[in-house]
Amino acid sequence: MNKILTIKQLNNYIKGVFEDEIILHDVTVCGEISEFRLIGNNTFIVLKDEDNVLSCYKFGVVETMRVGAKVKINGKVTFHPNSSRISLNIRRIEYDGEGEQRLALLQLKKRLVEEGLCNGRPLPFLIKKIGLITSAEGAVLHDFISVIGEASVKPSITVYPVRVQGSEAVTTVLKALEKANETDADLLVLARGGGSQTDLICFDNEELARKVNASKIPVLSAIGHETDYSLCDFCAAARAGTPSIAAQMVADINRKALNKLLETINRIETAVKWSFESAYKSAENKVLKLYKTGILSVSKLKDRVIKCCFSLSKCEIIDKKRKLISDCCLGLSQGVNETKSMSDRKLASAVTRLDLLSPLKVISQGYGKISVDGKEINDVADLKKGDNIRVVMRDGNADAEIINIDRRKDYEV
Amino acid sequence: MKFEDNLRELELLVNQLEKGEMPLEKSIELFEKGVALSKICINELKECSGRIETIKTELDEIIGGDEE
Repeated sequence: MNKILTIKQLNNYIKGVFEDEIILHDVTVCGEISEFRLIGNNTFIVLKDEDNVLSCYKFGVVETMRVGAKVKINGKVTFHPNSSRISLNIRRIEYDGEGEQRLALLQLKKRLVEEGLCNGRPLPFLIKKIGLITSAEGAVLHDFISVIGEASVKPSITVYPVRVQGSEAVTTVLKALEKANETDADLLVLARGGGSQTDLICFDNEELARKVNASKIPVLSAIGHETDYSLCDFCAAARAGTPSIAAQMVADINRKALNKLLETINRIETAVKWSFESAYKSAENKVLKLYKTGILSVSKLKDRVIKCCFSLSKCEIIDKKRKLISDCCLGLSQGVNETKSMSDRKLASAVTRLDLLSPLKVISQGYGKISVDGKEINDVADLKKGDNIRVVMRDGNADAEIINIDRRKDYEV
Repeated sequence: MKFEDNLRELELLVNQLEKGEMPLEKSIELFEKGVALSKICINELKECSGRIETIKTELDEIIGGDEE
């Protein structure tokens, strides 16, 4: 009967056999990288061809290698007694072209490009609702939400939890895309943090890439790190390097929309102010022209100017509409006050200035309000020669006497 | 109507107002419309609440089981 050995004795014996076999000290093997991981300063690679795999490792970093690449690796085959594993301790690794899997992916990509699926499409002007398709765990969700939290206009976020790696990833993401497309979201964000090439492989799925492209609601794809491109990235409306960058893109889009609105409100302000000024100027010019042609005496000129101001400030149009407009402005101010989370100071000041332009404030622009014995006068018809009037202007009152009344003949009540 | 449509209409209106070739009455009318449109746009931005919700669907069932 053979001697009974402990596992340790056996494994150490096997290790000795490997050590004694000189050929195993210097072998070169070729294959396709199916897994590639950096753990600390060490590199772990799984090499495969057809159904066979080989674990390889190197104490040190191997750069510029990716999953799918064909490589030749030279090193020493070692047996590890503790785990009963065999692996290749890498001495040299060299690139030997693209592997089959990688080539198939490149061909698929080429086909999708030819079909016009990789052209992207514009993102919405304003994003009020986002459908976020991502893992319920992990940093992505947290990062995305915290960047959005800093945005001047914050969209609401509906999270569709999915698997982002493994066999169920494609199915769950497809279902989430379908579900999210039934909503009125403005944008869908497909997000996943970085990982090894193998982890991200589900986002190279053809069916998924096509679904992303066909989505009714535009999809912003943010998969992996900035340097990794998946098929979904290529077929989406737009691509963001990382989920955080995607959130920043959304924040920027909304900030632009808000700024555009502010800018337009500022323009209304300027334009309406100008309208008032030019109406005043043209009235003033008419009076001056009459004076220059000698039709008006100096004393009558003074009277005319007062009346011009008067008719402008009391003009029927303004009178009728001022309540409506001031209500609008008030509503606007209130609306803005409630919108605390927006960059409100800017918006509020724009609206306050808009409010100042309401005809109620016209008086502050140089027009006067006329009353007799405290009763507001709107029509020349309510005045008679010799009446003592009070003109209220922005910096005080002036009392005057009516010396002449010249009612417009064509004026109809 | 969408935010961008309202904003576009607002811009067209401001363009018209900026030309200044109209009586004061018309200007005020446009201004009034502009204020109303601004209000609609602002209200739409107000809807952006940053609310967050998670959809509970059959997705959870798929994911749920082996997550422990």
